[in-house]
Amino acid sequence: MMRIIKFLVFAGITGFFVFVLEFGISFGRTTLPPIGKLAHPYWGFLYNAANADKGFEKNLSLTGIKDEVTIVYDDRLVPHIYARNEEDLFFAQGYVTAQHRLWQMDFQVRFAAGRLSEIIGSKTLFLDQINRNKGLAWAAENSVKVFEDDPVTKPVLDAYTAGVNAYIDQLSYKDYPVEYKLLNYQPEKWSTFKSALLLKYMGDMLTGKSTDVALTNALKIIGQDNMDLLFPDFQMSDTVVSPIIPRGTAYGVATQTPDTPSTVGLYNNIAPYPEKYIDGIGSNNWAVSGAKTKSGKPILCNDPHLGLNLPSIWFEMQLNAPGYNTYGVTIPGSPAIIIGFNDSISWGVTNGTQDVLDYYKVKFKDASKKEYLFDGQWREVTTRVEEIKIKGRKARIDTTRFTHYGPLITDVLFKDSLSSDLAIRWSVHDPSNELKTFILLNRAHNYNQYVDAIKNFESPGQNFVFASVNGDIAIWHQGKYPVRFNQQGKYIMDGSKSIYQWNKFIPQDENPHIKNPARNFVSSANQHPTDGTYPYYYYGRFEHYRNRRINQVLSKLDSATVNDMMKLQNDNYNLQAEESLPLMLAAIDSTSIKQENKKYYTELKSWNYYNDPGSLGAAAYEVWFDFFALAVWDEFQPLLPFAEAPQDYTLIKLLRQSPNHSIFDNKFSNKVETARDLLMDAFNSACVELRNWEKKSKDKELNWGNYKATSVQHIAKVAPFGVYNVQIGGNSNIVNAASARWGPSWRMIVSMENGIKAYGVYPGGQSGNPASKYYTTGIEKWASGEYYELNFWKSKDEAVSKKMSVQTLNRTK
Amino acid sequence: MKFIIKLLLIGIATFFALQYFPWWVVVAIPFFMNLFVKTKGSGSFFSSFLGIALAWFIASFSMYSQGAQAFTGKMAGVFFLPQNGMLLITVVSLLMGLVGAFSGYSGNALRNIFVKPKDKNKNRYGRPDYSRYSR
Repeated sequence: MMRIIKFLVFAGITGFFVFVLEFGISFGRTTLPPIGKLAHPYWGFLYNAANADKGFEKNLSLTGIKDEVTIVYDDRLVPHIYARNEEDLFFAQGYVTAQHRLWQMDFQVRFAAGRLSEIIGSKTLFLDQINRNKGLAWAAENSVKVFEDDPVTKPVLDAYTAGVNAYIDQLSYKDYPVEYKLLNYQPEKWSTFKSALLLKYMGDMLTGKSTDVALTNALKIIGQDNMDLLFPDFQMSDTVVSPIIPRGTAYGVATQTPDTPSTVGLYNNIAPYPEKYIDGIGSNNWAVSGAKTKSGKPILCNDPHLGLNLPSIWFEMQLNAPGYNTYGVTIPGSPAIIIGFNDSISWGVTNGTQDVLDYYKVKFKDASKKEYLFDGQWREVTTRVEEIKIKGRKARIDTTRFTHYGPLITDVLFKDSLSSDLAIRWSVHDPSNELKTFILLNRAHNYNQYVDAIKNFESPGQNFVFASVNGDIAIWHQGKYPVRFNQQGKYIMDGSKSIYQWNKFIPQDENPHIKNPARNFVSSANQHPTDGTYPYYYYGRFEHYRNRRINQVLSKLDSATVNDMMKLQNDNYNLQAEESLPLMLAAIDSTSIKQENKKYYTELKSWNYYNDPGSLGAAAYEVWFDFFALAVWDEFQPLLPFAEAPQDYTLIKLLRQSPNHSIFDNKFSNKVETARDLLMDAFNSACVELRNWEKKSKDKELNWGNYKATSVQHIAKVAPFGVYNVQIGGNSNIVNAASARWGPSWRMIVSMENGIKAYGVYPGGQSGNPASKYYTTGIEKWASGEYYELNFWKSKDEAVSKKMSVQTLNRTK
Repeated sequence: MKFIIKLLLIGIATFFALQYFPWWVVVAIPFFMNLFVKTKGSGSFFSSFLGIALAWFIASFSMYSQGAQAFTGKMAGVFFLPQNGMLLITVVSLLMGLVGAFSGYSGNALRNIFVKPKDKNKNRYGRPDYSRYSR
């Protein structure tokens, strides 16, 4: 008996180990991966590490392709794909992308679909519920129908999907990207739906936050007069604003007019506002005409600002087949080049920044909330029931409820709120074919074809910049925008009357645009698309500094070179500081500064307004300004986190024009403060913060680069797979828009001279494998403002002659 | 001697088996080795431990030295260890050795249920043989 017990005890211990090593184990929020599988010497992470930069050269026979495809990798692992027909081209794009970025494709789509809990557990359940409730998967399903009905997009997507799946099909456990091994799950087949979902996810990233709820709350607290001052609609009378379409450009008469209700239709209550709006999700692009360049041909530049993540959001590539010879960056999971150039044209995008997500208060018939009032009739709520699988737990049934506007967002996001029942109307939900834009742009040769291509682009609204070898430059503020009555969509609206909904859309050709303007350049940096004479109303939290700096520099440029463009993309000049610091310093009584704070004051006085990484003045200014803004917006404190502070531009304007305005008075103190008092207090607080930082970080010098400590982090937040304390200057309102976690995600400069010369760099590398030497390739050059010359090889023979390694895909015989 | 042979048998078998089989050969090999080959309890435990730990370490090190050093250090970080690759493969090898040891001991224990061990501490009447200690 004792022997049996002894055996059972030891076999039990062994069994426990086997279980833990095969399946992993969780303690609270920490999950230990399955070490047995993960650390297998030949199949585990060591395989990923030892083979990181091997294996993609081998020649393959695949079913599903028609003809031979040659893939030439250059010394940065950029694939140059040479195919003999369109299907093979996109098949190979799918195959090669999966080869280097499979796990990232999978993870991003899981995020958008609300399927993270399947692989992570209950930790991500709320996030999944939010994303499902936003209706991204529902929107993607609508888009799939559009993609599949279109003769342009269907064959491309089918080929791409087949290519991704051809790669997945030949994998065994050891070949899985290391993140699969860490999280212990398997790759899943790709589909058109997933590509559609990815595009919706981009739309969410760029337009998924809206201030309607925050502004409704603010209005109730500060009143209409202050609203107009702090959240102005148009900055129309403000001659400082430098719109995308230059001031004074004549617009035609609007062919559509909105029906205007008697009131803006405010829903007069406080609703929680849990999602912060992120200022600084923006981008820069511009094109300079040949009249302003040394070569006499246009130069086009673009740097989209996105989250700084690894694997990088972008995957660089050249696509070559009959009808195509295009170079640029792709988004893993979507076919075609998204930002790039071909033999004849180049293009780039910045976010349009218009508010295209509106909130409607819905009136229900009764507590069952199954019917709601609309134009005097009861309409039925529809539901979409989904199962959320949760790792290690029982699956959960999740229901999203829809009105005709869109999903009832309050079911998840505002669940415990004082007021609920808000539905959203969001342009990202509409079925549209953004992919078609990119496929057509990839093979466009002139301005007219560019316009035909971008017509298909509805959401997220983008500023498409254009330049051609013919010498044309242009920019379109493109998207599908509702014809709004004044202030429609700024606040929560009444959902029971049709007059408040999006009843008409601005005809596409009336979107703001300009071709070959007199000033010989076009540019955009998320600012107002137009001046106040544009005949349609719009609202958004537009950018106020980067764009003006760009326009100032471009106006002065003459016989510009690629070098000038590089300098401008990496420009650290802080225009906001130039306009605010003198006002701020004027408020300081220098005799009252404590001895230990004097060095910061001196540094600020002599600062040149450049946010260079080594600058102490920049660090002192940024910290001081943040404390000042915090103190000024105390009115919003009781509402936090339900409100949104006004923009910095508004604050500085107020500081200049009316420093004694009552908004500067601290509501929590007994005396009456002016801007001057707040500035002095904020200065002292900033000095404490800076001194503490210096004490805490003994081995590091206090400067902007170290203080900001820009990091490029792994998308699943596996800390050792990130890169930290990257020394780069700039900030979100500076042309070099690198903040702590956001920044220029791809800098591209294309000179449309004979043969096309192009340069690019991004904060990451081509490989998605954290063990690869190509995982972080560009980060250092990116931070120091250097570029790679892009290898735009015209033919397979030219490419092969300069090859690093060549992979051939052949049809299985 | 028998201990060393057993250790080597387990180690070599595991080293080669890992090239073709999942990680749980570190459980299967010591278990069956001790199920079919007679050993003392402690001998089954320690020969399995050392055999498995060495086999795992040598196999891991052979991959580690093929350019996996830096990344193995990062993986150590994932397990909340200092970012040192050698540390990680050593710790994992010891862990695998431990699992192998428990498995080997279980194999031996199972054997003992069916095959009565010849206990040196007992005489043929089943009583403790104190004479061994009297010398």
